[in-house]
Amino acid sequence: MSWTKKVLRINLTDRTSTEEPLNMEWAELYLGQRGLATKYLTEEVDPTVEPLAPENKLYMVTGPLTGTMASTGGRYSCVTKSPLTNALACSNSGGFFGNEMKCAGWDMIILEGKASSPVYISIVDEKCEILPADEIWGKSVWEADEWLHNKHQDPQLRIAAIGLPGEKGNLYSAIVNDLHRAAGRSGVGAVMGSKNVKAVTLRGSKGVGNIKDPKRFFEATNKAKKIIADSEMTQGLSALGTNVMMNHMNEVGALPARNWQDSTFENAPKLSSEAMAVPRKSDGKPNLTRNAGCFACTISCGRISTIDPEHFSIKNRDDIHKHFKGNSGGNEYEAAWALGCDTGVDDLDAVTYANFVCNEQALDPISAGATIAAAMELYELGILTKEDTGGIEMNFGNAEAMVECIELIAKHEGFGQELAKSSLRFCEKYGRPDLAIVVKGQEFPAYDARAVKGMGLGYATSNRGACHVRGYTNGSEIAGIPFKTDPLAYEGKAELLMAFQDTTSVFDSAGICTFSSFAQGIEEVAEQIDAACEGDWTAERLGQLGERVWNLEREFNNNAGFTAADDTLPPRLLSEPIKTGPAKGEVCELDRMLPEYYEVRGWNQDGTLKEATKQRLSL
Amino acid sequence: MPTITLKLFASLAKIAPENIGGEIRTVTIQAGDTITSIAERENLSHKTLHLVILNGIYIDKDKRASTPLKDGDTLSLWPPVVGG
Repeated sequence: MSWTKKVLRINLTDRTSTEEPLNMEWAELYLGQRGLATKYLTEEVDPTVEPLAPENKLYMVTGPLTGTMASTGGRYSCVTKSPLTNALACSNSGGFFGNEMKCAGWDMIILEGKASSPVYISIVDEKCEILPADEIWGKSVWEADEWLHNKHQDPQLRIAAIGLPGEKGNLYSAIVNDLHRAAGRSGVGAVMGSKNVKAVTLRGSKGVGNIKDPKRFFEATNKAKKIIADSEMTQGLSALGTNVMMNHMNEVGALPARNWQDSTFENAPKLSSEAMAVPRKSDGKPNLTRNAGCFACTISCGRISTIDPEHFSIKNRDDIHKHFKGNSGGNEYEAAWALGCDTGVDDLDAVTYANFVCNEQALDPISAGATIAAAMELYELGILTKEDTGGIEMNFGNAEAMVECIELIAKHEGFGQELAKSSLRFCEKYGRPDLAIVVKGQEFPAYDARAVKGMGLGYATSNRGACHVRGYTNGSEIAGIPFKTDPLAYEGKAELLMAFQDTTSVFDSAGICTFSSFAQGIEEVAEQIDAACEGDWTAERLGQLGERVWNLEREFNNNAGFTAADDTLPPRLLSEPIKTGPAKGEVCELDRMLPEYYEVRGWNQDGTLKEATKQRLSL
Repeated sequence: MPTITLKLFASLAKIAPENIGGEIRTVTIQAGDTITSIAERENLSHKTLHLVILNGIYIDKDKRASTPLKDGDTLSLWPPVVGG
């Protein structure tokens, strides 16, 4: 129970939809959301498939706690093979789309094949229609959202959509739901676009009431909510948002800047959460309007902000969507870093504008900012010229250039089409792939792995390419959660990372937010799942389930052609010492951690799974 | 007199344009002063301090009362915060 035990499979090629039972044998081994959809993917999709071919599938999937009263139980994931990395893609989003899917009676929606012309999918409880999307093809997420709400005359319709970049195959295009929540990473938007699907709309009236033991579930969720509400960590997230890390990472010398040439950014304070709260001169209002929570969230870490009406990005402009002169989501730490520090831009409003564009057109702001940053370095080296950029002077710190680039990417025009190919392909074109700060083709987030060693090992081994939320050892190494470790030490990082990776896999498979793990532990999650779902669910069982999910993802990537050689870092991190700050002189000596990581994982030194590991995990 | 630079971040700082990179105080120290003694003198309760960075280096909770301060140090303080 708690699962609806129903899957909606939509074949876009012949425009049919069928209901089928959820595979409960797999649910017992992989729980839901990230783990369960990965199992479906590995069973149904050839790992060598071309990601944008009709044979690839897109799984939009909830967990058993999604839509329940469990705190942060509003999560859903998009699982597919990534066009950015050619590895597994699993992008997780909050908002209200996931719980609506459960309320409509579905655990998972599978999109397969390819429609012959643009469509959107309307799901109202059991009723599924595949409808023409010609009128919104080419439009932004915000425009499509407005059109769909008007057409269906339902203000509570929940919508996940792609923007123009997703239609055009931008390799870091996202799927945005509820206007500014994103399944952001690895180009899942391009997969949806390749199927000629503009949006999925959901309306559910059923509620999520199929709980095994309602009284015990009520007690377990209340206990977890109190832990989360009482936690000083999660209270800090609510008060300050993720961008509170900006000043902090800068102070410890682990804030990458100018395409990772530097590890501190002298103007980071101008982009910080502290700066977002300061009233501006023009209208006396701060950048930060309020915080925002997803479905059933006890934390509400989300930020809603506005752009200075006098800022060049929006002043005297009638060609932009009304939301640019109102509110939208952000700035989160990662977006502020990628669009700001990594490009050397210290203009908070320019960064906010660029982030709004990413919301509007469903772009991953990390990859978008990082790709612009890589182009800026090529420009400053004289490799990229104004002839290539269409006249844009791509110097680090040029806010107008950053804004122009993000607009061109969003419109998929001119130089933006080159940037849409991601930093690795862009840098390869100019003969300098070493300047693409990526693992498996995915751009890095905002923690310098030379100064935080566990994050380096995490980037190198992440199953979806460089990522911070697959194993956030920064929590321990910098923030002291659940205990403090030395960020510059190599010893013990393999085991630490494995614990973070496996635990995160559990949270991502349960339907709840990993941010709740800053307060509640796997024991509390087990109590809630055990009360909600049939079977006996203990912390020990969930711990092994998390490890199983991680290994299944690894097996998919191995079968897709990845090897130990792909578990590496860009040359800059391996051999260019940090120039300034507390971590001056440091590089990331990956070979001091990777062999031990393979060992604790139960893998061979070539990165493949040992047979004994497969048997132990029932793979 | 020897002094240190005290930088207060997040909710420890007053919201103001001059404080976006931390609310900065120049604090006079005396012989034997530690992180804990300075925090107490500046009316920062132990409970509100989570991340303590001395010259860029994190100082464990159990070492704050025994970590001496010297002229020219920069002590940065945060309440419980985390991101992602």
